[in-house]
Amino acid sequence: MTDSIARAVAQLFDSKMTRRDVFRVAGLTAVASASNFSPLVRSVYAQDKLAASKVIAGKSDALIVHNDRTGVLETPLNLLREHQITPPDILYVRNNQIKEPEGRTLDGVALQGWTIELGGTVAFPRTIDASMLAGLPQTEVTMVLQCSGNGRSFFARTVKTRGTQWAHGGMGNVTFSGPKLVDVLATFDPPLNPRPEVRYVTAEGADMPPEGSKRPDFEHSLPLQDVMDRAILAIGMNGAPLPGAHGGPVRLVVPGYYGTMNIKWLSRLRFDVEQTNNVNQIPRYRIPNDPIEPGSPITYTFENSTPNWRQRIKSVIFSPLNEESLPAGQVEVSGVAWGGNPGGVTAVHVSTNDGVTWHRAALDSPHGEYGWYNFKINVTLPAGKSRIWSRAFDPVGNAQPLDGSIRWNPSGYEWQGADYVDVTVT
Amino acid sequence: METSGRFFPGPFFCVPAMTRLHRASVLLVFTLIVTPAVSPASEGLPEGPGVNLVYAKCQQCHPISYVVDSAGLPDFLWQDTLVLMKQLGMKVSEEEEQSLYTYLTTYLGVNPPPKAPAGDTQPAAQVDGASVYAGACTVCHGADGKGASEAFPPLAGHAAELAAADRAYLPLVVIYGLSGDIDVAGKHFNGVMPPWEHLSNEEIAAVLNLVTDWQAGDASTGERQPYTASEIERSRGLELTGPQVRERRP
Repeated sequence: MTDSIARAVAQLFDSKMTRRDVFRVAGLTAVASASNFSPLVRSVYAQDKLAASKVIAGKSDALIVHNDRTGVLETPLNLLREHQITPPDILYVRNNQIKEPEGRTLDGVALQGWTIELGGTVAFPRTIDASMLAGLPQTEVTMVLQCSGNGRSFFARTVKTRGTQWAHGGMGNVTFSGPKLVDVLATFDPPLNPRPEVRYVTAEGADMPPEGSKRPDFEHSLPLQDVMDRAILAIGMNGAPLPGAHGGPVRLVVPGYYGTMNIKWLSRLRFDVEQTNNVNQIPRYRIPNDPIEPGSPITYTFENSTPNWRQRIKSVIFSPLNEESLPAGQVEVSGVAWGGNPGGVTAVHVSTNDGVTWHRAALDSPHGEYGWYNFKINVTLPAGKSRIWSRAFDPVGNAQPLDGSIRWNPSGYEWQGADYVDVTVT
Repeated sequence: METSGRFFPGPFFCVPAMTRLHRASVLLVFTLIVTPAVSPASEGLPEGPGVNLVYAKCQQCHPISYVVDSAGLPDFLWQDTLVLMKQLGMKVSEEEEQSLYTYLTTYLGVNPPPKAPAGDTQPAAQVDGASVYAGACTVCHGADGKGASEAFPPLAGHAAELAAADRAYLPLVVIYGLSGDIDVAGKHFNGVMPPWEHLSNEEIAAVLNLVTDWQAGDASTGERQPYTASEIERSRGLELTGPQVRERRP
């Protein structure tokens, strides 16, 4: 599998295609030339938004379009559950700002000519050409890629929160491949040599704010330790070159981390002593350390809150779906669970009597500790309406709270409430 | 691996940090059927003072249904949102910000007024180009159509020239928006005009007749047939993007 990716990637940059050629092949030249920075402006009368395939070429029109300018697309659960590894055409997208034209295609992007700066508080800053990444040993890791706003709409059970009203479909299970960051650094002579006081790595992508908007560029700071332990510079996804729409040619991938931290179109890594004060680090993309009353404001500081780093332990029921009607008899309840801590998921419990009793579901881990685990269990439901709950646990004892609003925060990040579906047995 | 059927007793409300409000909300969760989080195609914003300013500002980056989906936010979150959007590049005057806040907290807040019954809209005969212009266009193009700063081109005189060159062009600009480089009266512009497709055919015809009547200086482009509602209707349904409208510019 790894070989085939490396071959495909090598083909892409060995074939002497320029980036422009790649897009001509994709039939996207028109998009590229027509929209320097400009979004694809809403155009369909009485329909409000463009279909997903017109936002990003190759995406399935079955996706839910939240924003057709920068590309915010959600996967309905009935599609997501069809695949163990989520194919690119149905994988969700959430862009704050898009990189044109790379972000508009599922094709790969040439590595050669794409540069990444590595600098900051280091002895010897360095700029690399992305083509060197294909020549290093490749690491493959399957992880749940999940928008930190995934499930935001469920906070409205208490007080609605600001942002894209995602249901559960802002996530997918994907296999990234590329060299580990530490292996890249190991090739440097002289070594990059970050100063001992460095605690964060700040990543920036080549996406740009709209011209003249004075909007700050998008960057995030991540804890140095996790980045050194886990990060790969991904150049492949699901056995093919990393699609432009998902950050190709190079994406920083830190398994277990929320999607936003996995910076697309990677252009710079800065080794920093402090977190960036970029608007996307504070006040955006963080949640309070201590619970606050739903509906109450908070002024974020670096001390009272934490960025959307490691994903919280979570399960989602894939079958039955919410509001499904079922015939009487035994019902198989199944779904997926995952978390951002090493060791993944240890158990998923299911209840059909609103938590009076819980049953441990069978749990299968075919994708490693950061991929999704499959759970299933047979239950018998009485005729009429029932609510089926699922609740996941991780190895250090974290569990999904039964009341997800315990983590209510004004921007509705990191929903992790125990999941439930309501069904009717006839 | 096969452990299904094993019995796990568990106290249900065991989160120690639960406040009274949280406990109440748990009970609430049990009594509510959650509404699906996916909205059908947007019907647009509720009518109300300031609605056009919301269309003008928010549609620079969001489809309007995105804004409609946020209906029900508490007031402080709308205020917070405006602060954040300014940080992310939204340009508004203090007056405009106040107007946006009032609209959003009134019509997309926690207690919105009941929607006007369907068919309660102004009859076509009463549509007045000047009031459509004041509500929708003044914000960017100025009360007198002279434009504003480096960002928004003048309409006075220029709209008349465009209509004379290709009368089919202006309806497209209003319905689908416009994006890209243009030169107007010796000045260069490169911005985004959002689509105004939510305006009725009558409103678009009336406002186009107003702005094409404005002359720059003493130049005259002569007599012109007024735009009609049916002419606007024929321009709809073309699925054009802002950059594509730019390509049709005469």
